[in-house]
Parts: sequence; structure tokens; C-alpha cells
Amino acid sequence: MSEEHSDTAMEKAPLLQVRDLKKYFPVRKGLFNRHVADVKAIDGVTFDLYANETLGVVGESGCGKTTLGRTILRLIEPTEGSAHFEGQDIFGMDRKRLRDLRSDIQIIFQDPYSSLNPRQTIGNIIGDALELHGLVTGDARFERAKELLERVGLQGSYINRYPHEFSGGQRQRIGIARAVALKPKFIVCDEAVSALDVSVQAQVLNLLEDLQKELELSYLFIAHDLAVVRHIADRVAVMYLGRIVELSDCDDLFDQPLHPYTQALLSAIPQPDPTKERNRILLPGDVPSPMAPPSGCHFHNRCPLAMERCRHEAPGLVELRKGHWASCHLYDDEAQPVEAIRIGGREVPLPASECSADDTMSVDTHETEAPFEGNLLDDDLEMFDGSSEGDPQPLEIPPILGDKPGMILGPFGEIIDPEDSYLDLSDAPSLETLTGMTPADLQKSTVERIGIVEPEPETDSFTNADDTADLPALQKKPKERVSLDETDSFKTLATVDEDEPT
Amino acid sequence: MTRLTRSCDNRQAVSVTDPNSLAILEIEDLKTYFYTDIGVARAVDGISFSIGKGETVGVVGESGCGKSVTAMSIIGLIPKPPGEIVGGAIHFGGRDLTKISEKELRKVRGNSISMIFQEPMSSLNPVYTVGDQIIEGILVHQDLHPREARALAIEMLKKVGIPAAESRVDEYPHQMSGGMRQRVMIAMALASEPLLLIADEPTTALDVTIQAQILELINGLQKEAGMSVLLITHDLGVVAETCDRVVVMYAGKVAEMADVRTLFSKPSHPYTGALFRSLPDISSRESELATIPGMVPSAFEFPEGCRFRARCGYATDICTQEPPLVEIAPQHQVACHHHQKAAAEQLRTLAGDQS
Repeated sequence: MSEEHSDTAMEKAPLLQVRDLKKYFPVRKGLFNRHVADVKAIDGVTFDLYANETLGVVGESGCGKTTLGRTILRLIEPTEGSAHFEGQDIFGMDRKRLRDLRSDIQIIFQDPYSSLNPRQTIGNIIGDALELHGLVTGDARFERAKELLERVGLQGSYINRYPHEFSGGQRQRIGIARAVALKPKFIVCDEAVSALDVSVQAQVLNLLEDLQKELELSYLFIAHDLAVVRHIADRVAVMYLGRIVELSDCDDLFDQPLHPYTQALLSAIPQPDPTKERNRILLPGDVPSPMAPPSGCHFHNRCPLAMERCRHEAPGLVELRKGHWASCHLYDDEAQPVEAIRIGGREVPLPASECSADDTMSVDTHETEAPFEGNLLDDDLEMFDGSSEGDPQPLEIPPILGDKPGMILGPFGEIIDPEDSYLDLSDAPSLETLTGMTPADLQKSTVERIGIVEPEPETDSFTNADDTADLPALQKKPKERVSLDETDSFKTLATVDEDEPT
Repeated sequence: MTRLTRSCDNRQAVSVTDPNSLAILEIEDLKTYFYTDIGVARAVDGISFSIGKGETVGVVGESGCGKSVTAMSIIGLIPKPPGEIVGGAIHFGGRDLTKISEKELRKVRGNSISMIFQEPMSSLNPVYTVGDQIIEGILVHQDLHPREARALAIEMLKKVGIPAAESRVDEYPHQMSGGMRQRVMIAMALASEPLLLIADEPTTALDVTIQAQILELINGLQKEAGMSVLLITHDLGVVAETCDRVVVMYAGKVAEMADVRTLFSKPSHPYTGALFRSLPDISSRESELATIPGMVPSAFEFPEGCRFRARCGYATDICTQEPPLVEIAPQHQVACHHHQKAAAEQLRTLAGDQS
């Protein structure tokens, strides 16, 4: 997948080539430290990074994005795979060559509070690296440290201060000064702005962009904030449970998200615009444990468009549009370049053979049994993601659904009995609000859970804050819904009218 | 799998009525100071706002603006010493919460006012099961048999969407994921059917897909129970999607207060406008982000006059005098000498019009 990443970069050889990178953390337990399982933090990641380019890496906690950054720097030893920086094999280097390489590859950490040694002055924190690599020695390193501090927008006189005297934003600037001190070619920014307030975040983002222009840097920009990534990245890789599920030019990814996970992720971002119609795709449950990821496509147990095939066969990363890779079986039979198959967007023609009643169940009852028990401490989890929110627990769904077809799965994986009395309360969120379906639909079969409410068109009256007169009219508007048509043996998805008895 | 279509109309219905007439909580000139060895931190320095019944009020601002101290003052959790409510009143249920005794306050706290904290791991006791912790709260505030309390706890867990609640109730917090722990916190907070829920950055520690679940959950439960919510957050996206009214705080004071649509379309305080401009836009890629120079001044040394003036592009000599909070439109209050100029320049073209 190295041919054409983007028009500008296609001629050049990639600065960094990562091929089928894997990092498994062994889980041991019992008296003899038996190796019982692996946490598959990265499970076969392949990408190229070009000079002067920013590759954003996004995904939820526990998807392996932090481990990816650290494995490339060999702060963590890889299990399998290769990474080449300017043609040199990073994983085959001895310690001395690795140290030389680290002047070209640097990292900016997430937490500006724990990444600076509290007992060292700023001058030493920045200057030590310069001395170690033999760039400048003696007092000259303080002069250079001063220049660097001024470059990142701090006063040069700060070199004699200690980290605790600085605010979070200032510390992050110090971290950046330390990273660029050795004039690297490539910096891993691991959630570099996540801990900052928006105004400070904007300052640091601008600084990173200025430095990139000035020093011709490449960034691997790891973040969970998609708005930030959109702002800074040229290309974006979306990760889910240790794999890249989509890799694309930034604009194409946000305009045409191909993978259902990317679509859900994008739709979940709160938009700072109260007039905007929300059309949020709620995924049930949490990210499953990387210790026992679902078979086949890792996303299939949360995917509203999952097919039988997704359970058994892991989709490969395929170039579906120019410069836009995705790994999803939905596009297997599509002529390329494909148009995004949206969750609830246009009709999704599912092949009859691959669509059984079970498939549309969002949660697989067999594969999400909680494997999380015993000795795996929170610390172990932090190894594959810096956040303590690393999510070890998959959703546990009791097999009750099979016996009682009247029950349905709610948006959070909870079981909703349509006959439950609390649903009758007038104030309660109606079943329709929760699921986008009428109780009658729900009774029929769990198959119809793909029911979807189409976005209502934007209305001008919404822009006027005082104008509420039009609201009832809007509410009455019949909603269109896509649901599986039973009479057609689930072969096609039909658009049905809300008021029409189905 | 579910798709929710949420529009603003259902939220708007609440705030068109005058919130003051139905206010369940009224904060009047609240001042909470911290007396420390190095000086007095005026964390909250004279703020007033009210929360109507069934209304969601958002409090936004950068770190150090006094958002969390406001919440802690309402619920009476200011550590004393060094903290102290030195002035003002918090009217709730016909009483002033700053004047009543600790014993009476305990009846209010966790009962008619509940709170959800930012970090669900550190707010749950790791050595008790989640069931025990929910049941304890129920038994303190409600006259129920332990068996009934347990049934109620299970019911609450079901309500917040915890699968297999009957068995999950006996699990410990570490066995749950971040999103589930936050749901347990919500279940605990709502078990007493509070009139007011204070949510202090309830989704900040969570991933966006989990955040979406939790926000929908709070929203749904709020509608069901007719509860009021005070939502403290720094995420303007969350505010836009969940709140009816917004209070923008800066350096311990209210900078601007308006209903959510007015605030987002016509931010009239330079600080509000600057906050919006520094947000990266997900729908397009702009060249450079606007920034606010400098940072929030320390609570030990708030400047005289307008506290934003050192970072403000509109600042003139008059800003050395403290600007009063004036009503520039119904329910839209701003504390800025230059609000007319700022409002005119900061009129935002909302994305709804563009696309």
C-alpha cells in the first residue's frame, strides 16, 4: 500500500515505513507465571509516513495508538513486524545506533506534569539531550536552551526554573522545546494537546504547525480529539482494537468516512453549534478487551451493518478510493472508487446469503463473554494506553434475548422489555426516541433493530432563537425510516413511512 | 444499534418560560474564598445565576475559572479550612444552603441535590461493591428495608443501561470500564430522585462514543424525571448539545450568561468570542487558530477592574473599572464595557446557515 498516498508525496520515498507491526503484551498468572493470554495492543499495522507530513492517529482508549507511537520509537520492543526510518531498520539496531537515531526521532508526551523531571531545571532538561548527542557542550548548551525556549514562546531566563513553576501549557511548550532541540526529522506527538484548555491548545497547535514549516518536520499525531486532528493532519489513520480500520487524506476521511466505525466516531463528536441537527450514531457497549478481541472483523459486534462474513473473516486494508484505504467487507463487491455506505444513509443492499436474522444483532452473545479476571492489574492496562480509562471490559449480554423475542437491546446494550411499565410513563423517553422504532416494530423481531431515523432537513426557522411557532409543525413531520422488510426475506432494505403500518 | 435524532426544539421548550419564576436554585452574589499561607484565593467572587425546574444550565470556562468551586459551594463540599463561603446566598427549597447546619445540609446533599464527579474511578470506593455503595446512599436518605434498597439499586442500574444488572450489582468498581463506572455514579446520584443534578465534567475522562452514550442517558433520564441539571464542562460542543442556558465564567466571575442559541450565535463578551474562535472546526480546515494570549490569572492576584482586560483585544482605559453584569437582551447578561462593539464583531455565522 505504498504507491500513492497523496499527490504531493507520491514521488518521494517514505520517511518511515511500518509493516505489519504487532505488539502483544503477555498476561501471566498463577504460581508458575503461566502465559495465559496476550493483550494484542497492536495487531498488524502497516503505514507509510512521508517527509514534512502529519499523519493523525485517532481511536478510543485501548485501541493501541499510544503503543504504536512508542513501539516505533522502540521505547517498547515490538513482537513482530518491521519499521524502517530512511531505509534503516529501527528494530534491528543495536543500542548505540538506536541512540543516534533518536536524535532524528523524538516524542512529545501527553502529560506535561509527569514528563518533565521535577528535580531538574529547564536548562538541564533541554540541554542534557544536546550534550548527550554531542551537539553542544558546556555552557553553550544553556545558550541553545535559551534560544529554544524563546522559539517556543517562553522567556529565555526560564532556564533556571523548575517544572513546577510552570502551567500546563507552558510545560507542554518546554516538552516541545526538548523534542525539537536535536533538530529531529520526525516527532511522535502522543496526545500532545489533550490535557490543555482550548485557548492554550490553540496556541500549542499553532506552535507545532509553525515548527513543522520551519524545521520540515513530520509528525505522527496521536489524539482522540477528531477536531484537532482535522485541523493539523494531512492524513488520518483510524484505529480500532490494534488495527487500522481506515487510512485516508484528511478531507476525504471527514467527507466520506467509509468504515462504519469512523462514521460512528465522527457522529459522536459534540458540535459547538446548538442549531445543528444532531444525527448521532450510538454504538452499543464499549470497546472489547484487546485480550480477547472478537473474531473476524474486530468491530463486528458493535457494527450496525455487520454481516455473517464479518464474524469469520478479517477484512484487509484496501484502497477503495484514491488515497483512501479502509478495511470493511461492506465494500467487497463494490466497484471502485466506492461511495461511502452510511449507517442509515442510503439503502444498503445486503446479499441474502450473508444476512441472517442474527447478524443485525449488534452484540454477539458468544464472543463477548468477559475474559477479564485474575491478575491483570490496571497497571498492565496502562501499558498499552497511557490512560487509565483503558477499557478492559466487554459488554456482557445474557442469552435471554433468544428466548424472548419480545425483548430488544437498547442503545446501551441494556435489555428493554417493550411491556415494561416504565416505558408507559408520559415523561419517559419514548421507545421511539431510544431506538428509532415504534413498539410495534420492536415486537416483531430483533432483526428490525437496524431501524433508523433519517435526518430531518435543516430548517431556517431554527436559526431564529425566539421563533418557536414552527416547532410543532416540524415535530409532526413524518420521519422516514429504513428497516428490514420481512416480506422480502430480509433481502432488501426498504424505506417505510412512519405512520404506515408495517 | 440506534440512531437518535435530536433537535433543539424539545430543549427549547423549557427555557422560553422565565426561569426565575420556576427557579429551584438561586445563587446570589456567591463568594467562596480560600485562605492559604500565601494569600487569599478568590476562587468564586460574586456570582449570581439561577436554575429553573427541568432546565439544564451549563457552566463553561477555562481551568481555574471557578467552575468546580461553584459546584462544591452549592453542595456544601468546600474543604473548610482553607475554603469558606464568605458572602452571598444559595437559595434552594426555600432555604439558604450557606446558612443551614451541617446536619441539615446532609439531608439535602445526595438527596434533593446529587452530584456526579469527573473521575468515576476515584469517586467510587474500590473496596465495596457498586451495589453496596448505591444501597448505602438509598438507606441514608430513604426509609426502606435493605432488601427494597437492593431492588431499587438493581432497578437504577438497569435504568442507566448496565447489562445484567442483577449480577453486576455485586461487582467491584475495578471490574467495570470507565463508561460503566460513570453510569454507576449516575445511578447512585439518581437513586434518590434529586431535584437538581450537578454534573462536574461528567464525560471529560471518557471517549467520544462513550460520552455520546452518557450524554444521551443524562438527557433521557432528565426528561423522564423533570430534574434540573447543572453541567460543568469546558467542552463547548457538549454545552451546545445539552444545555438550555449557559453561564460563561472567567476568573471567578460571570462574564456572560444567555440561552444557548443566543450565546452561540451572538457572543457578546470578548472572552466568549475568543473561546469560540480558538476551537478547531471539524467541518472545515482553517489555516491558523485564533488564540487568547496569556492565561487565566491566578486566583491570588486577580487584577482590579475587568479581569479579562490583560488578554482582551478591546481593552481600553475604562476597563480598569469593574464592568457590571448588564442585561443587553431578555435573559442575556454581559459584564463588559465594550459589549456592543464585541457583539457586533463576533456575530457568528452558524454552520447551519453555511451548509
